[in-house]
Amino acid sequence: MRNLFYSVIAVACSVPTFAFWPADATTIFNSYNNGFYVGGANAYYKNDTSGGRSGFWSQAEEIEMVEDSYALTGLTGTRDMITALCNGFLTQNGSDWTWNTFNDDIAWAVIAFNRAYQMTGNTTFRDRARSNFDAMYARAYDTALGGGLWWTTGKTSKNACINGPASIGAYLIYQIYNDSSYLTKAGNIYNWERATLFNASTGQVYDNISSGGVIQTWVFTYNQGTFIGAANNLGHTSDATLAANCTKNTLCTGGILPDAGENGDGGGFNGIFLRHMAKYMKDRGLQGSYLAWLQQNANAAWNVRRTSDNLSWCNWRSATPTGTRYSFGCVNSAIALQVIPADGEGVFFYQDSDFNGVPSQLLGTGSYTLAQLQAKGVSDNWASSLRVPSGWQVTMYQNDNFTGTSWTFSADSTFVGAAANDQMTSCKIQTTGVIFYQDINYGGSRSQSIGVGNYTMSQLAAKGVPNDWATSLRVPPGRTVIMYQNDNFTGTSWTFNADTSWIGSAANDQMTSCKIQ
Amino acid sequence: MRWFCLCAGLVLAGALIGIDEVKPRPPEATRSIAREVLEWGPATAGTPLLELQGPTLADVIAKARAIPDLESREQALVQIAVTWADEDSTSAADFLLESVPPGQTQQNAALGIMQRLAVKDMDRATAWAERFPEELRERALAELARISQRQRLVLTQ
Repeated sequence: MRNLFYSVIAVACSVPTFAFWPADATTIFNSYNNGFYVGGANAYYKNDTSGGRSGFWSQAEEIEMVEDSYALTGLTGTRDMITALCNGFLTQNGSDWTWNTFNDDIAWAVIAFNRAYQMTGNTTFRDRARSNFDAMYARAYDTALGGGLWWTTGKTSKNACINGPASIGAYLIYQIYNDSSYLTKAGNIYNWERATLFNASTGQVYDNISSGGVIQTWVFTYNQGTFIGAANNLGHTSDATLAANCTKNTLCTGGILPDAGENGDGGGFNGIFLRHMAKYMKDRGLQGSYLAWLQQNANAAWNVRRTSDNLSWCNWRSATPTGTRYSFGCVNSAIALQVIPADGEGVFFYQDSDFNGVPSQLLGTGSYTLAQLQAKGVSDNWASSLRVPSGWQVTMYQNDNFTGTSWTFSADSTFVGAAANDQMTSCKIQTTGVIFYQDINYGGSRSQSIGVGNYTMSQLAAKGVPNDWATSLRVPPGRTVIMYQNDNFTGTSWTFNADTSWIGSAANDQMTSCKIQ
Repeated sequence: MRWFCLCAGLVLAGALIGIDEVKPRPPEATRSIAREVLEWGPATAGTPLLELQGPTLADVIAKARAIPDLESREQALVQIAVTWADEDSTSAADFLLESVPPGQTQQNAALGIMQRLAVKDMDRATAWAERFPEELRERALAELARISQRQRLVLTQ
């Protein structure tokens, strides 16, 4: 273990990579809701659950964060939250949003409500999105400065923050209604933004052009993000890649997105960028270029959280302070873990206590000799802390090949103890019960750790296994899992005796009941 | 229409009051606002407003007040108020208070007027917001802080 001073320096200078689990997305989402959601008001509040509701655009972005979570998990409760939040938004802001002078505010809400319709099927949300887009577009668009949308009704500037979201909003309406006039609008808005505010040499998306034709060359991550999102929708991948690389190479420091004041608009910029960037990466199969970088940011967001309540603010180089935090200043981190895929679930070892210092790579179940540990970035006599998923167990051995004194851990440990510190040479990692996962390679949501027994559909549901849901599973040594297609152990069955990262196309999303022996 | 009585300010608890006691501009003088309202009108207020040709704002107001459906009528009146606010926030605020009954719709429209005033005169906007009922005051002051942040950003560049 390094001394405290060294640890502080290490935290300040480096951010570990590949250190968040899929389950952490659920944790941070629930923590955010515990911190800021007021169910009776159907709204997020500005700070803690006080200070009044979040404002117009920040509420819209917070709704999008919930939509990001639903896209990840498909949980009914999360979908219900989307409905509640949209209803709360309408209660607060009315069905006609044109009282708001900011056209971009309306565009953000249009996106949130379009997505809400796509996820809930509630046609009120669809209708509100379209009518308000139409009203906003009618007042915001003109041919001055070559086209594009004015930022406000004052018509002092045409900004990236309205044109990017408006293109995305129009594209969503096109998708929903199959009305090509909205595709035309999406394209025209994008083309104007590209021609006017995009630097096609550097990939920078400038903030605005004034009514007098002066371009303000500020570059913000949210504008980079919505430009990438619009370009991705319309198939302009070269532009999107240029803007993505610009963000990665010039706006980030050490790979981490810029800090922002937590009590202002900037508090939510990075989350917007990550949402569109992650979608672009996924849609275009660009994980090789961008996944590690995005995971680095999501990991940084997760690691700066305060462990008392798992809230994480918007400055990913320093720990989240104690005291009251702002909901919009914490939304970036929640978004990051919803939209950026983790490598999977497993154990991480850290060089220093409190999960500081250099982390290991993700270790799945198995027995690891010294050579195998070294291949995962775990040096001999090196580990001081470790993260252990729920339902997992790690046995550390003092000598190679699982000999000598051993220490067992079944939960996160900020310090392995004086006796075990810097002592591990080999280890065994296993689950203590069966764990089912929503996605291939132990990804997506996961169940509880489930012991020996027979489980009907309702009993599985109580353990976090929805019907027709499981795609991969972990099986402890010596256990057998028999999955049944129907309830009460009937229908076609499939048997598994070991960890299985893909249960096969026949069994995928088919299990309704099971026996664990 | 009571163009002046509201300027003196309502003193009912929880009620909105006007921006200040400056004499508001009568609606007959604002043809450009009328045209702009007409351009927006179809999206949220239905088609009746479009039937007017070359109207004054007074014409548009009269037409809006004649819309039978309550929600559509209020939407039209709010549109007039917030559009008017781009030119004359004081008159717009007084028109809003007279035309739209107290409630969420009126409060949202007041926020819209306050936004428009803030970009021109933050001090007056703040003074008005300070006199809002408590719940609206919170929203208004947060919105003013946001606008102020943006203005400071512009000034520092």
